[in-house]
Amino acid sequence: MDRFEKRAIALALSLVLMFFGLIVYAAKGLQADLPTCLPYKREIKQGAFQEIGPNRYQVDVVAFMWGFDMGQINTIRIPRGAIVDFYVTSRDVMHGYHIDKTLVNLMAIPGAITYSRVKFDRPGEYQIICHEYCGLGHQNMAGKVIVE
Amino acid sequence: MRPTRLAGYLLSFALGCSAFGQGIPPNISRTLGTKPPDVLFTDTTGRTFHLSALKGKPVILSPIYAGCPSACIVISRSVKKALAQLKLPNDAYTLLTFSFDPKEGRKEMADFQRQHGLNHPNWRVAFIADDRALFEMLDALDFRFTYISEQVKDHPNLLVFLDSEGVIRHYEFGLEFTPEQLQRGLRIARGEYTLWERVSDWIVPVGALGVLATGAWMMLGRRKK
Repeated sequence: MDRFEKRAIALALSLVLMFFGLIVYAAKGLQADLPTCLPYKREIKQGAFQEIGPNRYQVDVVAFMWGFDMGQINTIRIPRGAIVDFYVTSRDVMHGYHIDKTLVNLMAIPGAITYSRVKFDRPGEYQIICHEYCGLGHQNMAGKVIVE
Repeated sequence: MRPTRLAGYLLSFALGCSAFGQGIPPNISRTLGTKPPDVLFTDTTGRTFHLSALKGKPVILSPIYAGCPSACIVISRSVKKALAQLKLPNDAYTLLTFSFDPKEGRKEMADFQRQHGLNHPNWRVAFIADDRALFEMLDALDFRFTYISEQVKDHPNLLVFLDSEGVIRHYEFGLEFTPEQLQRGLRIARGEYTLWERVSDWIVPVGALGVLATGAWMMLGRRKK
């Protein structure tokens, strides 16, 4: 085998190992949850924000052209240390739902629900953006989580 | 086949299809081998007890909510039926059914116990009065539920098996639990694993390493002829 071919294969194998190591680190070190697509049919027709326990919240997010309905449009307020379950869907086309400085990175898909849980330990503003191009008003799709 | 029996099978099938796989599954790689917090339960007679008071024999935890229109009823009835078939001695286990709904208390759980006849001497039906402790317990089991409406919640259908020291050893999933599932859970909670159960978790990582090592050896380490 040509030595350059060997090097290319070695590089590919080492990249595979590196990414495998990063996955293990994310799962065990960062305790990251994989984004989950709920395995059953549930319909979310409108956004909702509700407290389900002490400092526990459930947020049903309906993305639309061009904004996020989370019970309130585009903004939610929660106390520091809150644990929030996000259930995300779309009313029209495919959108994205990414909360900056967290591991929440979900697709908003019409007819399906994606899920992620996050604990907000630090006070501040966490920007929410649509990171899936969804049309002419895509750049207007932004919201925030305000942790007080 | 009698029409009533056929109707029963069809109903079970329909319920099974509608409930199978519901809820967000727990990440058991994080919970197996850990100890849930020693929270305070209150049973339907009003007596309080800590989880640690059940140490000494395996404990089966069954998180349900009393207002559930379908799955929790099927789970509890099937466990009752399976236990009746197994006829295990009293020192073989304790079964603890508790509500995961913070809005439910003694009345709701007592009604649920009475309606479904959950009266086995080893079966305790309870709730956790302190909401913070309840969610600590649910987190320890990685049991996540979803409000569909004020009355209806989606939840995973499962039983959790603790060993005699209170450590989480096994989960069983499903809607209608069979005697075999309970036996398997209790066997694992007693520390009696089959060879397959011991090695199965390692097969994929060892296989993956083997593939990588073989590939690396074939590409880089093989001597020239």
